[in-house]
Amino acid sequence: MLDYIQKPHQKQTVEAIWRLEKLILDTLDFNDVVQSIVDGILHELGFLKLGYRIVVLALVNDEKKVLERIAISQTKEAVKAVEASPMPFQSIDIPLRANKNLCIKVLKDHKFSYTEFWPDILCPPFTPEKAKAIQEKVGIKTSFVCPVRTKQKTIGVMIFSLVKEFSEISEDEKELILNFTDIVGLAVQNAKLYSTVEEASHRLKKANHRLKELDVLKDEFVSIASHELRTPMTAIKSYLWMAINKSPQKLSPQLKKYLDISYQSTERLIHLVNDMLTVSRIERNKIEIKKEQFDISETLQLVYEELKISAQEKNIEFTLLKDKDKKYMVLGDKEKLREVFQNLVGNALKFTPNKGKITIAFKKDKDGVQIAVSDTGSGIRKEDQSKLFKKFSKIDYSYTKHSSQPGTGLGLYISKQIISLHHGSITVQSEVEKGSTFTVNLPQK
Amino acid sequence: MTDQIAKKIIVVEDEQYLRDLYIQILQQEGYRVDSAEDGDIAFEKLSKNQYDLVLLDVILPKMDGLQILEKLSKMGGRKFDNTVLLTNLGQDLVVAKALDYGVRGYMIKSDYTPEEMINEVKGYLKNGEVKSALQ
Repeated sequence: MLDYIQKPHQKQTVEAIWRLEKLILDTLDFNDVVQSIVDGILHELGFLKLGYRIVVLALVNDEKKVLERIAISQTKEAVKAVEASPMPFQSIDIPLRANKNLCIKVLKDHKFSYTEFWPDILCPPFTPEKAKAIQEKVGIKTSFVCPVRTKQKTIGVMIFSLVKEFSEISEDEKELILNFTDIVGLAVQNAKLYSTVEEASHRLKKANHRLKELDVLKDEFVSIASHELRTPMTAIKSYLWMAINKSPQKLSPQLKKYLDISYQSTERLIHLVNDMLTVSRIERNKIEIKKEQFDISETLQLVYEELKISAQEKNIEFTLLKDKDKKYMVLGDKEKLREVFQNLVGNALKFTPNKGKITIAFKKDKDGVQIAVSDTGSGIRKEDQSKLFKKFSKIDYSYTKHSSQPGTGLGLYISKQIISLHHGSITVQSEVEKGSTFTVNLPQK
Repeated sequence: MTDQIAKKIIVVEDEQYLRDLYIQILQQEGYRVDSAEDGDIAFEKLSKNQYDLVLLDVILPKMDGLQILEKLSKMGGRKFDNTVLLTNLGQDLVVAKALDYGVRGYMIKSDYTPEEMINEVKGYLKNGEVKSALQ
């Protein structure tokens, strides 16, 4: 760190550096910072009057393995030097392996040095003759090269070119320059970081904007695609229904079976499209919950009535256990909760073998109502239980075993999302071959 | 239905198979059924004739269902309490707009069997309870 704090007699120097440091640290953009660095010492600290004419900042470019010119002071000597140069200022790169070049030496030794002979600092890339010619044209006597350091390493050099001899440089000037170059490293590093962050943030903004555009396109696509899928499906579904239900001739059992299967498969497709639209709504936070107070056991009664026939077909003992004198009031969206329980009971029916058992039970507590849907179905392995409520979470093993109708893998995901929007919970307890219980908790208020 | 004049329904539907089907099942129920296969024809018929029920598709050639509602409402003095959107487009924005125009219901075609559709139509015509009514 800087040691000027311990030397009160150098108060003036400290103040001067502090002023410059503030000037540089106040600036964040990399290009502005480096320009303030090279101009500041001449103008802010009055070094121009002391015979300093050109200040150059050069930094290591690790990729190109060169020391490259970054900034040059805005002085008339600097303009002359740049004009006389056979190449643009920004292209004056010194290879890091050019060990004879004084700049590279300073960089590697981490110690300042000086020269009165410009070929020392300009070759390569210049020829000695050209370097000497430019020095004479601009009228520089001495160039003072200081390392620019960060905490970890030397990242470049500053070259101060003067119209006086090295011996004419006072100790104070030297000290000030060295202290100054110490903070330059820090300032350059900060500015680089800032510019990197700025650039990254700019790129992020652009990416974000693009994502938003894509999101709109995706919504449009989902809505148009679902419409296009539903239109032929409606025709298939409707005409199959007509063939099954309004046929002028009596259908043979075989033909009826074929038509029934086709009809059910079409229904499944329609269901899939509806589920995908629901998922798309959930993911855009577009699901609206219309809350009202109602008796959830009535909803389950409806679901029960609706699915009773399917249970009978499979000889399943299907029971709805509720206390007729009690009301099971919850605050929620009747229609959406009905869909959730249709899904849960529907799943139970799907996975419970013939002659199995399905029970719907209610429990009231101080916060709300607990609804449990239990079955004696195939059960779900422990390791699969956590996957159940995720998108497309079909567990092959249980489906291949008992279900002739593969699901979309979206039902439980949708159910969980809807229950979450009600500030409720849904959990599962299950044992393979014994059965599963899905428990939903819904708040009363 | 025999001792009174049959109710008049218009089916605005561009898909021929669906249009034919809807016309057929509604006629079988004894309704007088008119139809339109694109937005222009629908607008012309709706601005000239009176219907007890309008089953209006949204995605249509020439002029879409919502544009028809807008044009009709600009003519003034019109309510859409005889209109039910019958569409496969489930976009929330479209439903919201339909609600703004004051249409009575919104049916997703693929969710209904012909029988269920007839039941909804009966419900609307009797001012009874319907599944697809918009609140």
